[in-house]
Amino acid sequence: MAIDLVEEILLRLPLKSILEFKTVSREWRSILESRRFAERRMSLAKKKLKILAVVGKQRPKSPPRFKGGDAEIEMVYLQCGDDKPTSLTCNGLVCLPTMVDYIAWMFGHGIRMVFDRNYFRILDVNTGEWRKLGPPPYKIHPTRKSACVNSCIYWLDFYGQRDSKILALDLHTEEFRDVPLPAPYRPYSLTARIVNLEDRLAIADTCTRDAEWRLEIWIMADSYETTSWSMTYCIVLPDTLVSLGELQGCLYFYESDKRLFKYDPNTALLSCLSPDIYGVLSPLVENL
Amino acid sequence: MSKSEKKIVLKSLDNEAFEVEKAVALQSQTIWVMCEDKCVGNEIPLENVTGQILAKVIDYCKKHAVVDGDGDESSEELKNWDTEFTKNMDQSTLFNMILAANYLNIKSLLNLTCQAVADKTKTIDEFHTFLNIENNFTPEEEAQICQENLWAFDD
Repeated sequence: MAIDLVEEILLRLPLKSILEFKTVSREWRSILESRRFAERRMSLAKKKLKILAVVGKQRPKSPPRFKGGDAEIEMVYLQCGDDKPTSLTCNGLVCLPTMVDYIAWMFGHGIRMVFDRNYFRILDVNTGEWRKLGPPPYKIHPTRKSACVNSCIYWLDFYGQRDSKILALDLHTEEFRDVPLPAPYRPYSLTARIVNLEDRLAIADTCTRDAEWRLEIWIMADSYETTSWSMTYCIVLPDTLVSLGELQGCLYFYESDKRLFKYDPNTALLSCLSPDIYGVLSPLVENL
Repeated sequence: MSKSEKKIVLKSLDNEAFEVEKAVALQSQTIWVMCEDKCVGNEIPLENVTGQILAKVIDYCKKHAVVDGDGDESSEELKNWDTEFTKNMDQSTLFNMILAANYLNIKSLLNLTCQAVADKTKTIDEFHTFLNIENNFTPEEEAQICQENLWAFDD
């Protein structure tokens, strides 16, 4: 069989097999480690539905595959000892609590960067060089939630109940800037999350109204010059939100009772997919 | 157009002849080009495909031609049909299907069969039977790669 046909098969193998198959021959290894292969595999993988869930010490009993509406969803579990996993994923790269001082990103086609929160510097993994950034307008607490949207990192910071802020770092210009919050200002709860929804920045927060938990999701219009927010979703939830992700137009989230839900905006239907999920939710693309 | 012109005969490597609708056969880019060139008559010799494999390829093309034509089947039904189609094929048949799909240049069949092999293949040994692969690493090099990708080898 010609090597280009073999490559067609290799592209569709699970990550584990690909790493194993590097030992087959020099020729296979050079294919499997090439950038072309990684890019082709990535574009194929995006067509599949996968959710990454970081779980606590106990692996959930629910099956790793289930039907979510008409799509089959595969759950991929990452186990971690800490009960409070850092919720940051970006284009498939996951940040775990062990890396709490560093945030690593991959964006575009395989440019990997590592941002060191303590010294405000960026490591370009391609060149291996650290670059020092100008100081941010204020210090970001290392445990703050962050999201990465279109090569910008955003942090939602709480300065007491009355003064929350969003700080942005543009990874191209390497400059910090303040992002205005939705007006009029409302106090955010400590369970508020900042997330990437369909490549737009969103704030999700649960509040009580009429004796119900309501998940409000504000989405920012993606213009650099002017920032405007609109409340796109208001969903009644059985409990407070823990983590939120988006896949093919549907929202997936789990709440503090460890139940995973799916919300379809077209039908406004909320369905419970799994009763025992814990951790980060993110559409998963495995990087090579 | 007369009725006979709508049909085409495909002849396999082992001289098995299959009469099929032209619309079915033209899903193969290779056959399309051969027909365009008019260098063949009503009979097309396919020198790289056995009758056993060609019969399966034609089954696939028939199924997909009907759906593209009048759209009476949903894409989900078609997907289920595809899954059933490859489900009971052994590795040897699948590899031969890949070769046939590549030679006949039927993109969707190539995708389907490559995915089926990838889903079924779990170890390198399953590959070795069909591909003549010579391991040209030194034992030291092999150990180093295993070390670099340790988690993949842990069970």
